[in-house]
Amino acid sequence: MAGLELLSDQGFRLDGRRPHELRKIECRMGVFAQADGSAYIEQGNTKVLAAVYGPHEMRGSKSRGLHHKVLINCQYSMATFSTGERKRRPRGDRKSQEMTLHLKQTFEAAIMTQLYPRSQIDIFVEVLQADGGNYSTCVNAATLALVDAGIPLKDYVCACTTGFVNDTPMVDISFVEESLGGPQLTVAVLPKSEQIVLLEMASRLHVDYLNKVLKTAVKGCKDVYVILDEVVRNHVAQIASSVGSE
Amino acid sequence: MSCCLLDSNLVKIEKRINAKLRGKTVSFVREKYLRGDVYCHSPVCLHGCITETATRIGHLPTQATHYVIPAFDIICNFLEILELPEIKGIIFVQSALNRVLIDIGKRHYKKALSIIRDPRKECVAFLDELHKDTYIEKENGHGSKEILHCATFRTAVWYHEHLQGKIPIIIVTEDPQVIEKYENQTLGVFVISFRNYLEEFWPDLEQVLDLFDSLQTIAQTASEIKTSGGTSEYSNYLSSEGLHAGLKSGRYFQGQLRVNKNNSGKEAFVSVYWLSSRECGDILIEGMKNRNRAIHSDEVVIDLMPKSEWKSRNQILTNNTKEESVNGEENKKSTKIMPVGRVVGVLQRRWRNYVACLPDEEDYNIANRKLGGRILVIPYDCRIPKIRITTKQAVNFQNKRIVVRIDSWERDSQYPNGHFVRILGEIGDLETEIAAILVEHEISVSSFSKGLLEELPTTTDNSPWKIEESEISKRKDLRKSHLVFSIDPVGCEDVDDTLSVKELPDGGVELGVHIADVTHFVKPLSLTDIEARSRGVTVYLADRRYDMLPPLLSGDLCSLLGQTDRYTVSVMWEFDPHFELRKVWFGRTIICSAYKMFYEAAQDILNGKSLEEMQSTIPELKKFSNTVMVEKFEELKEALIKLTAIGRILKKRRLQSGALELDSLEVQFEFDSSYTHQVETVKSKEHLEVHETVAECMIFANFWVGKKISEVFPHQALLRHHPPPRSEDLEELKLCAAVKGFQILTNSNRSLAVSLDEAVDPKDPIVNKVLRMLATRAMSQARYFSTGSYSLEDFYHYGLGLNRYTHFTSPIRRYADILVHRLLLSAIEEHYNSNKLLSNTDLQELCEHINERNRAAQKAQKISVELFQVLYFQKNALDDTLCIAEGVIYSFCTNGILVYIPKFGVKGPLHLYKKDGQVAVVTNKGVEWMAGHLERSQKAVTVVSPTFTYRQTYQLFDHLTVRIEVQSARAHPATLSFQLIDCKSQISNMERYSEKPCQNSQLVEEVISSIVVKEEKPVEQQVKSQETYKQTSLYSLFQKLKDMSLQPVNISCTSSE
Repeated sequence: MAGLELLSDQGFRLDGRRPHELRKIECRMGVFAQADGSAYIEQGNTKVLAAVYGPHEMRGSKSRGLHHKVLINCQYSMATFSTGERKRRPRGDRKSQEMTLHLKQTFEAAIMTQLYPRSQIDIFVEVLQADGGNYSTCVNAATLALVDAGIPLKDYVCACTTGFVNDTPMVDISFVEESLGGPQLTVAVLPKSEQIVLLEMASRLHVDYLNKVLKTAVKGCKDVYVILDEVVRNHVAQIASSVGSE
Repeated sequence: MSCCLLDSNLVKIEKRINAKLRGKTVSFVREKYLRGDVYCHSPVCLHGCITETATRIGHLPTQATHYVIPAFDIICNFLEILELPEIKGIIFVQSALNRVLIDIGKRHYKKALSIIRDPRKECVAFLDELHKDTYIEKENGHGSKEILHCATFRTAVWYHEHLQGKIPIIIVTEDPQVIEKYENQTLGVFVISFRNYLEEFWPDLEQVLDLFDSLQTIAQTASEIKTSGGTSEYSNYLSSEGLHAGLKSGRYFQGQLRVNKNNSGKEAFVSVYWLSSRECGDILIEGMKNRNRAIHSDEVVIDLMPKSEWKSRNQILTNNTKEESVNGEENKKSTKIMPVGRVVGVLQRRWRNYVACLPDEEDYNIANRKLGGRILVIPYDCRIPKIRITTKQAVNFQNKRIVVRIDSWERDSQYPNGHFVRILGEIGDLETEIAAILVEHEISVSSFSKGLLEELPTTTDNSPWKIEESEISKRKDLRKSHLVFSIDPVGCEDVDDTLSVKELPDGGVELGVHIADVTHFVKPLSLTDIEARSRGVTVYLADRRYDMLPPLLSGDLCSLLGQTDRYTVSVMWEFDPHFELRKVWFGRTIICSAYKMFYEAAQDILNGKSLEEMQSTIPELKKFSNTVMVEKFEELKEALIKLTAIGRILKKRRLQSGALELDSLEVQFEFDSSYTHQVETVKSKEHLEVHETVAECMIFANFWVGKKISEVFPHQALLRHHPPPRSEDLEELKLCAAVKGFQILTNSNRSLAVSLDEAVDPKDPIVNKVLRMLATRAMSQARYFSTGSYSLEDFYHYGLGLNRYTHFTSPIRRYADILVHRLLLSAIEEHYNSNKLLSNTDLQELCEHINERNRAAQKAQKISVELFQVLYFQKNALDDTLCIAEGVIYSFCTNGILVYIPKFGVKGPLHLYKKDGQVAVVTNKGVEWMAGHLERSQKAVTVVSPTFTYRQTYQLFDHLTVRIEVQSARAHPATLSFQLIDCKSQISNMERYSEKPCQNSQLVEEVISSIVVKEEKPVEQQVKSQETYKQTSLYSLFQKLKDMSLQPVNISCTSSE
């Protein structure tokens, strides 16, 4: 389409959001019975399933185990039907490997790893439908799954991808906004302490604007936190009531 | 499943879209959020829609009787009417606009957007596709036009309900079915035809119905034309993907098409950047076929022809047989082979309003033609092809100049199709010709709007405007502490700069430059600001001016008049006793100028004239008693002497630090072009030292302000740079100088200046003048730019030899200075906020606009002077003493020579050879045309006529006697041409020195007076027609003319375009 304007004069984005508005977030916790913890999250059209196993004993070679903290094992994969064109390799390609590594780093910083030496936690995330902000949605899903599994965390980990168009930062960008180029800043934070656990940037952005974009991104993360927190509380309340009624 | 969303008002929907991606059809799902809080932008809204964002976007008019919503077909066909500044309060429906983008194209869509973006129009777009009440799901099988009408109607209904019926909503359309369907559905929403709407609501708008008719005929005939496609004149354009791919791979080239004025049917050029040699070069586009429907100044894509077809450019001065006017200026001496190409696509059309008239033949038999039908009109600008317009009003066009617009150029049509917009007036009438110049340069001359004037502070004779108490505390008060004065040309009204000099106790000196604080009155995004921004600069024509700011500001509140308190922005420097700079201070101040002096008076004081002699020229002194007067006079004299001393030092430093004496050129067109209008007498062209002193102080202030703002805002400061000239442009100058044995060094600006100064022929004063003229012509244009868009080394100002330069000292007549003032004022704030300022991209865009306006103003000024020259010679055609003058050869072309006439400051071609093989032979009886040919060498042209054994050689700088004639052309601007009278000059050298150049002011005055007398019209009427002029008597009219006068002797040289 010719002349696609990411941000209209009146300050609306292509999908009708304002720059600071998140996409619609829907989530559910405890979707699988087998896994220790699981969650399903939709951020607009990006849909992610996360499952957590552990902490448990080291599987496979015991020598991989660390004596002072838990080993976090992640796997990021995208369903073959997740994108417009059928994806040939659901996992193990370069992009997925990179994502896996990022997830691992993120959660190593958030999980209280020192509590479970010589053991292992597995986090599996599967992107069912990809529509931009895959990484941040995965982080949010994994956080919920970890909470569901009852693994001690320092805080929620909330992530948000922010774009920058016409000198305006745009929060939680979609696939169209991502693919039209321009700088992107992905941040994962611990919302209460505002500590940044992961920061990644694609494309070039003038350093003068960095602070502005970062602030918006952190604000976006905090908005995500409000939603996640509510979901967790509702979930816990539901379980408690069902336990109480028995 | 729990559902959470920050704003629960949002409704999410999903759309399935099929799109083509890399050849494959991919379908993907896009989500969309519908909401309830889409703003209505109406000031009568009770729901609080107007928020802080609304100030940025604009809103509907406050006192509107109705809002009008144009349906899709109106936006398509009658957008031009909606563009009229009078029609306000239009609500565009976004889905219709999107449809325009898809169906008609980007250009049309952008036009609509620019209506919405112009705050003066007070129009808005309603995002109906985002609002949950107006969103319509597009089902398959439903005619999409139907959906658009439905969306338009729903929007209208929504507005009606939202505003609780306070303001009637009118939908206009020309589709009778739509009117029928929706007419009676909702009370308070009216659906009427556009014609009815215009007749009922805008009966006062002149010619709007004419325009409506002419647009309607186009809309009706458009379908016919499309189907009639038979033989195609031109080849198809490539698809936009093909163009972009070709540009990326380097196969095609992109550039702006420039049509050769002298050979408009055949030659056009495109400047491109050659990757191989890393420099710019021209590609020749030969003939209309290769030009492929591109029009002058369009952005085109070029495909190169094979090397075997490359040609050298046509150098023959076209003989002015038909429309082609003669002006050999562009014919440079390059015989080298040029690349030849053809247009394969147009990236951007730059069509504008064109002035045109009927061709001669049409004009006579127009009365006999049947009504309606198409006619060809000839544009005023000879670079534009004839335009075919469809109109029923051709009868009215007889002997008139009209404005037309181009709509399209189909492949099977030899000429572009356009439509008629309005009539300017009788051909040859001075007002018409001036109006034509203005239209051609897109200069807006409408008077300032009522809303704008209401923004300004009020001042009447009874209660004149006074400075506000609250401002005194915010500003440094210099009224008592400093002696402030202004030095200006005689008759100047808008004084924007004043100076002050003060001795410090330790022997140092404090120099102050105080500039009118225009930004105090012109707040960003106020109507005054927007109007000034779109005008860009005050336009000075030969006999009138069009102000950038309303007269209340430019002539009164911002003008630093004598004995009046005024707000200023000051730059003050402290020098130690050895004139070393100690410190600089920028800030807001209040001043009271003690003396409003003229250059001559200031110089006279400096030259030691006594108080008695000066009393009459400086009225401010008179109010003092005798003893005080002496004291005051001494004080002023002291200050002026100090000022001159500082001026000298500053200049010396600038020269030393690698700078240059070239300022005689640059300052001339930086300062003269703006100051000229104010200068009155012929005498004042005399160069006084005090001119230089004032100019030096201004340059110094501009330099320091430029330095300050570029330091504080490294990415968004407005500076002015002057790139060095291209070396090939200086070749001609070098060759010319070499003839007289001078060497021009061009490796740096300093050496160029020095060698120009040395190139003086003691016997012939004109040699140096011609050389300087050539040098000025070779100079590139100084331009405004935003610091974020260029690298540091490009900031250099070649002409002034400064590494930073900006325009700060004339905010009354240049918009750039207003921007610089805002930058400076926020730079000196303690906690500045760069977010408030324009971003780099916005500023750069604005700079381009101002540059463009500047150039248009300069061109219009130049052409208006030419117009007066033509009128002058037309009037005096029989008077030999005036029409016969001395000319100097400054260049050659294949069939003639280019001469410069110092007396009138005009230049142009002189034919020595006609197409039928005759040459001009000078005999004792005069000039006769005989068979012969020309022999050319690099330094001379020889006329040889074998039958008469005649040889006459013409060399550069030879003096000739020529007769100046007017080459009149009906459709195009008339030009001057020259006829050879004698190959020797009839004026001796002695006379040459004593002869005063004819001032253009005299010329303009003479022409005007003759017109007034000839027409014998009541004076009022003559003046009334010049509304912008704000004058009411003939006397003041002349007064103004005098103000305009002092064009530099050689106008054509100073405007180096």
